[in-house]
Amino acid sequence: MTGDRRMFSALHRLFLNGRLRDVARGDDEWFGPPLSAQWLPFKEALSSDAPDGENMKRWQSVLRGITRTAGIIFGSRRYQVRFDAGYDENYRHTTSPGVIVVSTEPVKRPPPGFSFHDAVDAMVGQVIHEAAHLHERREDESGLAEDEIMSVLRHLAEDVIIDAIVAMQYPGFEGYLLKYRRYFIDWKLRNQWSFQAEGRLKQLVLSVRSTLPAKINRWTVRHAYLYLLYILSKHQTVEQLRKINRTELAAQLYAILYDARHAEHWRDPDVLSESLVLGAEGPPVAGDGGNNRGGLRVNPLTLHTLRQLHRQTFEWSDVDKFVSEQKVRKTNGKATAITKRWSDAYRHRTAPVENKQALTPEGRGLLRKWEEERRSPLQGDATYDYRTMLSLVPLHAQAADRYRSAVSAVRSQIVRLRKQLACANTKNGRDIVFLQSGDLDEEALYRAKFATDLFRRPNDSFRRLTPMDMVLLIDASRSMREPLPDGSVPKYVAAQRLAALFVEALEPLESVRTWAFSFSSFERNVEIRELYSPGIHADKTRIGDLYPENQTPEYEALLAVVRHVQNVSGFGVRKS
Amino acid sequence: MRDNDTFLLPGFYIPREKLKIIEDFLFSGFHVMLAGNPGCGKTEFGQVWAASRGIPVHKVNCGAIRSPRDWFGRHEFREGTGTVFVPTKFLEMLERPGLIILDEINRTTPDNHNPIMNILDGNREVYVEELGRYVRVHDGTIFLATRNTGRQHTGTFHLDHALEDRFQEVRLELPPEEVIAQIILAKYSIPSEHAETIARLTVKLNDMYDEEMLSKAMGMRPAFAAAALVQKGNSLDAALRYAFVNRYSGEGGPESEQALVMQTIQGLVKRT
Repeated sequence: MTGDRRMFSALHRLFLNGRLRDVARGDDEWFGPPLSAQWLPFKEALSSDAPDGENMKRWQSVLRGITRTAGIIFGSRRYQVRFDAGYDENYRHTTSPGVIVVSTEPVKRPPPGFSFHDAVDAMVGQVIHEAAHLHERREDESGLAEDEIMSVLRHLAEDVIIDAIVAMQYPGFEGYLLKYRRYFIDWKLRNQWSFQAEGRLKQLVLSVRSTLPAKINRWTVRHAYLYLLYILSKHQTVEQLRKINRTELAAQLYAILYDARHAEHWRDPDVLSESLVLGAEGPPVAGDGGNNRGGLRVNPLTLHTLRQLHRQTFEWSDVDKFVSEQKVRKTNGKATAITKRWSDAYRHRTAPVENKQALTPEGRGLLRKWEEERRSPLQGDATYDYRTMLSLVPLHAQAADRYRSAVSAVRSQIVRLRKQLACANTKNGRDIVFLQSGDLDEEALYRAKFATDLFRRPNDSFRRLTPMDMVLLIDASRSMREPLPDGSVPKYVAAQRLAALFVEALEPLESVRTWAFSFSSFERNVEIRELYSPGIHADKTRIGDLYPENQTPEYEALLAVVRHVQNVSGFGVRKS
Repeated sequence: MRDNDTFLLPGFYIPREKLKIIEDFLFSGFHVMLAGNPGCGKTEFGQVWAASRGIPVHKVNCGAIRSPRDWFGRHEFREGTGTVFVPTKFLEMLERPGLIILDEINRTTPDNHNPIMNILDGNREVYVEELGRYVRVHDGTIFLATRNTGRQHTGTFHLDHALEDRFQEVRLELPPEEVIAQIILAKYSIPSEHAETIARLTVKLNDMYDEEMLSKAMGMRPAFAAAALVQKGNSLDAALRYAFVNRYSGEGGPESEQALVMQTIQGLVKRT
């Protein structure tokens, strides 16, 4: 398939026909069977018959499976994924580099008709989308923080671009992105948070991001929507899409939306649909993915194509004039192209920070309300209710070195403990322990002359151990940065060494599984980081990542870890 | 990219610089050890290269060498003649100009390497008891060895350092995506977009191995298997699943390697 056709297909599914088919033929046919069902067999999904512990174990496994989808696209260990059960209250776009917050809300509160696999699809879509934000972010948007509208428009532009990029690189993941939008835009934003198409900005957001028909009654919104499609179709490779300046695009959208000439151009509410863009005949696409109209040959979706297909849509504007016009200015004999931007006619309104007259008071109020809804969870309430978050942090580049350093600091103790505990692996256990010569001091040797049984003493503690899980919980709060009383090393370094000793010394014991977690709290969250667990993801170097920050919530951490280990570890011990 | 730039050897991809280095080693009297992930063409390189240069070639399957004397021949009982010594092709080739490929050299135990130590060093000769004479290695005889290393290769042994030292190691890599697609299209008549998807998946899975997301590296064999299935009329999705997924472990359910490969295939194959 050529780049053009691929591009057209992406737009076709992501932003155009899907919504109409959705209405005409019903959800099931459009979304098809859940994508996650292919890699998440039903027996692996949660079941009401299974005990809670087993379900928790499966759930952890599903979450890891979801997390890895972003790794397929953007590489492993580049992101930390935090699963947040309280999306409504806590969700925010984190500014921490490399952190993705993913809500488990779709599973907790699925909309009518959503199966477990549908919910997983929505979560996968969110992981992919948020990871794409981190991966594809090109410009510093801090300058827009003060301007709500520009900030939303910029985010919208980025949303559209990154979805197009992902769909171009991984066409099979389109379905995840749509399912994500179906849940978070259509179910949460529109349905539960009452984000209705009231003002121009909301209309544009919904027209672009919703997977259901959006009612549009503003010409400016239609124009901005078409302009977005035009920009997408003009950039037909991933590299070209990446080069789009999102802030500039947001400014252009702003100019189109709030231009005084068109602000009052109302018309009856209508459904923004393919017929608006492509005319009654629809796009010239055939095959299963299309609508079986027209031949096999398809043209890329360009402004020219759009105009040819439905001229009336564009008659009101001077679009072509601005696009095609290119004058040349001669200065000192040199010809310089005077590039006319598509939105140059509106650019007197593109410095919006101090100039919001185009926004009606009603629109501004709605925007503010929406913004408040978006941000209110951060303010918290009077109760002091901790939420625990179990996270698996990506490895720091120096983690392995730090871990090696910790091991080398306690190597002699590791060797000694391993020797002393080695007999626990023997089938029958040992009653007699021969003391190591290095363990004896002169006094002991002196006594040994008169007490030969010292060398052959029975030691019941070395009998074969009952299978057990041993958990080390390490305080990772800021106070751990303080030095030890002897001033040699910070407390967290000592804790790191202890963790290394704990894991390494007990590693050869078949009957003991070791776990290590660190805990700290931030605001109302207790963050428990898995430093080591004996499963298939056992990675001791993660211990090297222990770094102290924030506060100390011992009780909550202890409770959460006990529950986690109880749930994750089953009967019998199987070490990887 | 022109074909003759891509394929310096017929149907085989190797970067120009790497090919020159290997040839310069071989023609300067050094032995070459080809390393690389399974399916990257280590053995095939020797055969294709020798054929393209018109050099006689003999491949020794080192995994089949079970005792030191297996290098040189075996005793057979023949009626009327009694027990006779039947020399190996390897022994014959030593005295003739040509390329000897010591395939999978680390699949025989280190003690079995002892008889060839003198062959591969400056002496270039070995005393064969059964023949009652020294066999001198011809000046035009060159040696190319291949090996797979790593814990995942069971049945392999560490090479003795002295033997390892006799070789110059060159690592072969998986070809670039577009070259894999070309190779597939040269072997199988399938739609080019299918070949591109298979090539993309092959490279993607190999990248994921490099990033430690998967435990096995990816070679060309699964790609050929998938292309063969497509050529036989199977859907691309089914071909990819059968050719690639079962190579990985299914342990771990949704977080297993099989699930990860399934997700990758899902991403690369567009839904219809």
